[in-house]
Formats: sequence, structure tokens, C-alpha cells
Amino acid sequence: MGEKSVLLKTLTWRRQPLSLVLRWLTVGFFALLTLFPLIWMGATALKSPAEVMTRLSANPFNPQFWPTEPWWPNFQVVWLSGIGRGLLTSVFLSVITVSGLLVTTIPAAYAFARLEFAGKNWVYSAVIATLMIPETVTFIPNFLTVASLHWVDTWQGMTVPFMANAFYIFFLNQYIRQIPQELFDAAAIDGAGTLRTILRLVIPLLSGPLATVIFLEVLASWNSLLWPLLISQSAAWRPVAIALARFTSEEGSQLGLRMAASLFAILPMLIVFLILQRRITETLVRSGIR
Amino acid sequence: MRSLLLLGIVFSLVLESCSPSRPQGHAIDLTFWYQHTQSRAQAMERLIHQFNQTNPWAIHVHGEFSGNYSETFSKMAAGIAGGVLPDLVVAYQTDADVYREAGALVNLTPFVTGTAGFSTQELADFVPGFLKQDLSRRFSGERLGWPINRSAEVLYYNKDWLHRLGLSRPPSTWEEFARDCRLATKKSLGTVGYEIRNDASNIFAQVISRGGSFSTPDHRAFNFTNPQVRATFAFLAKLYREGFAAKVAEKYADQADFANQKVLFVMDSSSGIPFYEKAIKTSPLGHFAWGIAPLPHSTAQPVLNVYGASISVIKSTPERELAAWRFLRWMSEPAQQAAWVEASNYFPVRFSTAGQLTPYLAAHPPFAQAFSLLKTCQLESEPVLSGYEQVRDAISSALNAVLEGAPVTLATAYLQKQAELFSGSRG
Amino acid sequence: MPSTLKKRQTKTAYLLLLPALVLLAVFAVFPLFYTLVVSLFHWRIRPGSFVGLEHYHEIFGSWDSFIEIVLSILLVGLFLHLAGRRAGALRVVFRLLAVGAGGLLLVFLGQVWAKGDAHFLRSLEITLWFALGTVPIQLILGLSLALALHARFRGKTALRTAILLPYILPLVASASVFTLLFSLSPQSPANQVLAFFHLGPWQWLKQPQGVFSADQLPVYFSDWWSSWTAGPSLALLCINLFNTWLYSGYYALVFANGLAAIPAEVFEAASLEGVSKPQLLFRILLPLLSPTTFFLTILGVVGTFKAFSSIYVLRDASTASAVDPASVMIFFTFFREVRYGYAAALAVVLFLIILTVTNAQRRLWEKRVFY
Repeated sequence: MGEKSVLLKTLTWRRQPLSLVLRWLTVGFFALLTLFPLIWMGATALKSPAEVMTRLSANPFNPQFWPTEPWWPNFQVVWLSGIGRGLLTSVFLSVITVSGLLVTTIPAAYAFARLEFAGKNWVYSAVIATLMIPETVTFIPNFLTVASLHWVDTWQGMTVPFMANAFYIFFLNQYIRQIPQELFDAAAIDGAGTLRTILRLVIPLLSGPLATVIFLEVLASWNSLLWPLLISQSAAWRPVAIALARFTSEEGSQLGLRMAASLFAILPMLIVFLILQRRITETLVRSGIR
Repeated sequence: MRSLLLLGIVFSLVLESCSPSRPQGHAIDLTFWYQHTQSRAQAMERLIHQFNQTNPWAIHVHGEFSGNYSETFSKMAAGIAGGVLPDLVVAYQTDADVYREAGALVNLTPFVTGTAGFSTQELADFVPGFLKQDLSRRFSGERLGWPINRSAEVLYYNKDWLHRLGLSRPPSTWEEFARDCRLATKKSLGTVGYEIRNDASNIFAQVISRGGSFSTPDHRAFNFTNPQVRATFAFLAKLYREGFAAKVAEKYADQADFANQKVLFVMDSSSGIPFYEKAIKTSPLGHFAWGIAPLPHSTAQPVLNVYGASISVIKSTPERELAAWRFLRWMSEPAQQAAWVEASNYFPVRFSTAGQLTPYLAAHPPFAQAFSLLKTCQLESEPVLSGYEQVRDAISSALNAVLEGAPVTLATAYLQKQAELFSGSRG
Repeated sequence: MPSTLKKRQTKTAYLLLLPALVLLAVFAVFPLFYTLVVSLFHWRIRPGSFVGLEHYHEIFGSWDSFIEIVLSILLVGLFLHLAGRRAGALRVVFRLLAVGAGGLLLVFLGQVWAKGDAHFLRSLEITLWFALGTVPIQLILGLSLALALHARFRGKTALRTAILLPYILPLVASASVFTLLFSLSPQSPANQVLAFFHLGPWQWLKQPQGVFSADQLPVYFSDWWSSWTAGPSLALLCINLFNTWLYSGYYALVFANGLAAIPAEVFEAASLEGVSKPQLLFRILLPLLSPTTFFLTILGVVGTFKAFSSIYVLRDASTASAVDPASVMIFFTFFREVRYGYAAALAVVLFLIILTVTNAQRRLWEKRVFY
């Protein structure tokens, strides 16, 4: 951390009070917009079923926005419904999915970024083209594949289809390309094989982008609903998204419950992000190119 | 490089290691996919448990939440293709037609009339309008589902408010309805006569109350260019543009506005009654007397749009199909019906359930009022034509356009074109 | 590169690619081929009779219009390509010709409107409005946020988390909030803002008329040409806003990655030479960020073609025909109408459109991306 990036220095507030004001205006305004739904969720989660329907204001300065008094049974009901199990299942499924994803994606991105091989352009184009397939049409054929592998209602069925994603290969490829060639030459001189180069050189240098990939995929796995619904046939592998769906009803007074459940569900994601976010913007430079 | 290969092998071994296995502790294990959540799901599970404990055939039903209606449909569509299906599934009549087309459903008529079925006397106890809904027109009258509950589109009215306006009863004609709306609308107080819930089922209810329909007399094709559809659209547009009716601002806002006495009339499903009850109980403006009535009508007898998903039996072995039927039959017995009604606030499908519901009906007058409509009204149901799910959106879009000033004939012509586009079993 | 080295690298490369390629082949390429096959059949849940290219014929109305459309697209590409290689007056001429070919494309699409699947064409038009209304704004907002956060200051972690919140919150929850904010009720926050400027109230998510519409008819009542002049509906603009709000934090995150990858020397040199802020941004940062921008643009455009949940949660039946883009339209053809065969054909056409658009983008960017 010896040399702070000069950009940081040029943008420090002591020298540039105006830029600070601008920054706070931009980010602060946006942050306010994004915090509002969270506040609304909190207020709604604390309303009784009747209040959810009678106190409808969307203006936090209007008392109708808030419950008359906090209604805790929402959280109690959600917890007793066994959302804890859904959370655990989701943690397990997202860990498996992300592990598998990293195992397939990092080597593939490395191959595209650093190796010259026959058919490279074709394979790369084909991989990128898979990004453009509308999801709607993949549901049924993928369900057929999973069914023929007897993976319905198993964790494999929930995770394996998402263990390769052209998007992340494309994404990591951009950053592996930016690593200076000298570093690879040096590794080669040290006698490092491909696998060691990836493990010792590429992965440490890519900690930022990798943290991003992990975060995005954990989130995607966490929030996906339709696929887990197709695959799960019993309580065994029901992720938190399905547990959440059970708090909707055709009549709507369950909104308070639903928001309480949503708050339970986003908590782990916030923790994951807080852990990863330091890594995400760590520069290549600081992690040791020099 | 070797380690990489090894990694790949370990990876695939791990994936292969787990294979699904199901315990086979009972003579017949059945799976039932339903859409219920929360209290309804709990009530359903209680009933299933009771059935499992008491039935003499060692049938064990396993209830499973399968998402909402459209998610359940997706799950079925994938399941039919992949051969992973339950034994019982909740299904609307249009959905059942699709499953049947794919060869996945059982015709229940032989079970109903067979030795494990109902006697003629028992069948007479069922609400006739409910039972005939599940006879598929497309598949020569096959019974593709069995109803265990129904709801209807009804008028909710504020009784105290009507009295204050000098009116002794809810409107029975649309002219009276318009008049009452006019009386109730006070710009200064922010009150309005009626809030339009732009939903196909509601519009259908209004159209049949004028003696019309969404389909041709033989029920084989859509027909939106009839005078009753046009009259409904024009009526609502006039009321809306004069300011005596408003659009429902957002989902359930009509429930809130009714409870807060901002609106005199709303139309909604009878299954919403407990939610209105709750909202009114906690309204800051206090309690008021309210009631349920059939929609205003120009027909001789009031007409009720009754709807609801039934339960279909999936084709498997004769033994399993019979077991599934036994469960449905058990669910249709008055005792179970009464338990289900009390938990779900749906209508029961048998008149004799009322006998078991006496205390409940006494404690819930609006529900009792709604339930009594089944005997006094003519029962109609929405068309079971393929594409109706899509057409429903078009109906809402068309009415919205009319409310915003589009000519009625243009809207109905658009609707007719859309309906013809979506109907039929094109590939 | 010596051929032996390349040969060795080829082996290594495919071994490295194997896990990803196998999974992609099974779970992405196989579905595509499956879809291609399904599109040739009358197929409603279960396969029916073989119908060949009939579904494609139904989409375009006639083979003539199909050929005309493909030709006019090729012409646009050719003229743009030629314009790129010439200078001066010739370039202007070729550009004008490209515009002309684009107009021709519109005319040919008008034929599809009359004889083919107008529904699908409408949904594509909505997709276009959707893409125009989201991608550029998300790029600008995302970059601004990333730049604003690319420094050390108090409260940075909290702000960064706050900015990503929309992306983390469950869609249904944020959609509930949004429908309240943009409710047609005069008391809704959006209408209160309007009232402050003595405007409105508007109906926002329930307003189906085009914003430039001359008559007060909703966009789904208008014909091919007036549908273009009417513009997107207010309901669609609300959905655009929702999507921008959802994904700007995500764009900021990816831009932050890009910024972090810029070597410190660049900034050192810039500060030594006394480069001004705008110059730093436009002359140095933007070119250096071009791979990220390129990546996000492609992703954004592909994303708008595939966007589903973020639209589905806000669509209202009463404005559905004014806001359903191609992805939603295909979903309903598939899961509501169960016209698997036809939906598959639509998906294949959509896939080809996405491929064409991204390819064009790649070509346009190629000269400008700096690695």
C-alpha cells in the first residue's frame, strides 16, 4: 500500500473541495434513491396485515408511511416457517455453483486470453454466442437433460447448469489480457507450468474481478426462482427464493410477511458484499505487479 | 496438466455420486402440487394429514407447493416433457385442456359415476354450475378436473353510506349503480362512487350481467363485438370520464379505499371477504356496516361469474388414479369442505356444507350473504378457449384504451382481432 | 509463433477449456439446437407434425419480405463499411446511402407488419425503445458513480453498498416500491413532484399512449408508421427508469473494476504534465476504459433483448401491449399459448437479431477499443 494511486491523490478533498461536493451530490443522491426501498421494506415489514392495506403512503414524511406501532409477528412467522433452512440450502447451493463456476471459468478465460491455438476464434465466437440465447427457450431442453441424468430434485440439478457462463469468461478475459506479458515470461523462466501460472500469478492478480464474479454469481444463484421451482420436487433442495415465494398470496395482505422474509433473505447478500467489496476495487498495481 | 485432468475426474465423480431415492413406506404414495401459501397451505396440509391418517386404503398424499398458477403451469409443462409429474395438480380449466392435449390427464367421469364415486342423490347436492365447469368442451365433455372450491365476482357495498344517501338497498340495475355513484362522488371529500379493477374476470362479470358473453353461443369461438361488451365498455368510460368512477391506483388500493370509506362500491372476488373484514376492522375511520350483493344486472335474474381452479388427476396406473380420486372424493365430503371453507373463505362446492358451517356463517355475515347468492343467481363461467390467458391481457388493455378516450368500436375490433389471433390450437 | 509451440498450446488450451466447453455445450448449445429442431415442428408440449419453415413464414408473412429485409440490412452494413474506408464527400454519400437503406428496411418491415407477425414486430420496436432508454443512461450513470467512488473518503463503503442495493434487493420488493412511487393516484410521490410544477397528475405505469402521440390512442392501436412517430409509452419509460435504477450500480461495479486495472503510472504521468480534469477523463480514462465500456455496451444490448423479470414484475395487464418486449412476448407464446414450435422460431429469429446487432457493435467498436 506504499504508493497510493495518483488518481486518488489528485481527487483528494483537501485540494479539490468542489469535486468532493460534486461527488457527494452524485453518489449521495443516488444512494438516497436506493436506500428508500430498503426503508420502505422495513416499514412495511413492521406493519400488521390490516395496516399493510390501510396505511399506503409512499412518502416517509407522512405518518401513513409508518406502522402505528411495530408489528413483530411478521418476523416471527417468517422465522417459524423454516426460512432458516431455505437460507442454509441457498448458501450451500451458491457455494457449490460458484466453486464449479470458478473451476470452469478461470482456465477457459486464461486459455482465450493467453494461448494461441487452432480454432480459437471459432470457439471464442461460439462461446460468446451462447450469451445471446434467450433463457425462455433453454428451460425445457435443460430440464430434459437434467431429467435424463436423474438430477431432478438433487443439488446437481440445481447447480451444474450454471457452472459455466460465457459472460464471466468474457469478463475475466478482458482482465487477463491486461496483465503485462513480462510477468508470464518471468513465470515461464521460473519453470511454472500452466496450472501453476494460473494459481500463482493470474488468480492473485485478478482478485478484484474474481471478487466481482463471485459476488454476481452468488447473487444470481440466490435470486433465481423459476429453475429451482422446476427442479425441486420436495423440501430437500428448496432455496430461499422459493421460501420467499410462499409468502405471496393472491390476496395481498401478506405484504408485511413478504417484506420481513425479504429482509431475512437479503441480509446474507449484504454480508457477502461487505466482505468482497474491498477486493473488488483493489488495483492490479497494488496487488503486486511491481 | 495431469492434476488438471484429475481435477476434472474428481469433479465429475462428485457429481455422479448422488442419486435420488424415495422412501416407499406406504402402499400408495401420491404427490399433490398446489399453489396455496400461508394459512391456506397450512389448512390444506392439515386436511392432507388427516386423510393420510384415516383413509383405509393406505394412501399417503404428499402435498407440495409448486409456485403460483403460472409457475405451476411451467412446472407441469416441463414435467410433461421430462416425465416428472405429480399425481394431482391444481389447474384452471384452460390449463387442464393443455395438459389433456399432451395426453397427461385422466377423464374423471368414470370415477365420479363408478363404485368409488357419488350417488345421483349426492351429486344433486353439488352446485350444478360448479360441476359442469370442468367438463371440457374441447375434449368431448371429458371431466378433466374436480372442484373442491370456487369463488365469484361480487359487489361490495358500504351499507351505512348508502343509508346516508337515502338509499335502502344496493343497486340492482346499472342505471341505479350509475346514479348511486354520482351521489357518492364528492370532489371536496375525495370520495368516488366506484373503483374500476381492470381485470378480465370482472369485465366478464359485468358483460354477463347484461346478458352478454365473451364467446359465440356455441362457446367455440371468442366474440367481443357483441352489444353487451360494447355497452360495458361505454358505461365504464362514461362513468370514469364524468369522474364518478376512478381506476384502482395500485394493487389492493381498492380494498384500502373501501375500508377507509373513500369509495362506495368495489367489485372483487368473494374470496377477498376476510381481507376486507380485516381492513375495515382496523380502519382509522372506524367500523361501518357493509354488504355483498350480486352485480347490478339488466337480465331478469342476477348473474354470477363463478371461477376457480380445480384439481386434475395425472395419468399413471389405474391404481394410483383411483387413489387420487379417493382423495378428491374425501375432500368433497361436507366435513372436509366445511374445514376448508373456514380456513380459505372459498365457497364450498356442496350445498349441504352449509349445515356444518352454521356458526361460521353466523359470525361472518358478508360471507353468508355471498354464499346465499349461489342459490338465487344464475351461474356463468368465463370461456374455456385456448389463448384465453393471453386474451385476458388484451381485454384489460382494450378497456384501458376506452377509458382514455379511444372509441369503443375500435377497442372491441382490436380485441376481436387479438382474440382470433390467440385462439385455436396453432403449433 | 512457431508451429510446434502453437501445437503444444492447442493441447493445453483445449484441456483448460474442456470443463467450460462441455457444460456450455450441454446447457447452452444443445438447447439452441433443440430449439432449432422444435421450430420446424407443430409442437404443443408434445411434438406434432413436421412443418418445415412454416413458422418462419408466418413470422415474416412472405419469403419476399424476408429476403428484402436481409438484403436491406446487408446494404446498410455495406454502405457503412464503405463510408468507413472513404474520406470527404464520398463518405457523406455512403452515409446517406446507408440511411436510405435503413429507410428501405423500415418499409420492408412495414410489409411484415401487414402480412406477418405484427405482434412480434411490435415487441421488437418496444425492445428498441427499451434499449435506447436504458443502455446509454446506465453507461453514463455507472461511469459517473464509479469515478465518484474512485477515491478515498469517509463513508465510502456505506455509499458503495447503498449504490449496489437495488441490484441486491429482491425484484418483487423493489417492484412493489416502484409501483407505489409511480402510482396513478394524485397523492403518489411522482405526481406530487409534478404538482409542484403545476403539472399532472399522470398515470405513469398505466399510461399506454405514446409520449409523442398526436391522437390519444394507446400505442397498440396504431399502425406501423404512426407507432414510430408516437414513440414509447409513458408506462414503458417508467419501466426504463426502473431498469436504469436497478442496474446502474452494477455498471458502476464493473467500471470500478476497469478503473482499478488502470496502472498508476498513467495518472502519475498525467499529473506531472498538468493534464486538466476533462482532458484526463476524455483523452486518457475513456480510451483506457474502452474495453470495459465495450463489454458493458454489448452486455447491455444483449441484456435488453433478454430482459425479462425486471419488466415482468412491473407490467400491468392494462398496459401489457405497450410494454412487452420480445423476450416477454416469446415467454408468453411459450408458456401461456404453449406454441412451442412457433415460440422456438421466434427465439431463433431473436437470436439471429441479437447476433447481428452485437456483431455490428463489435465492428463499430473494433477501431476504438484500445487494449
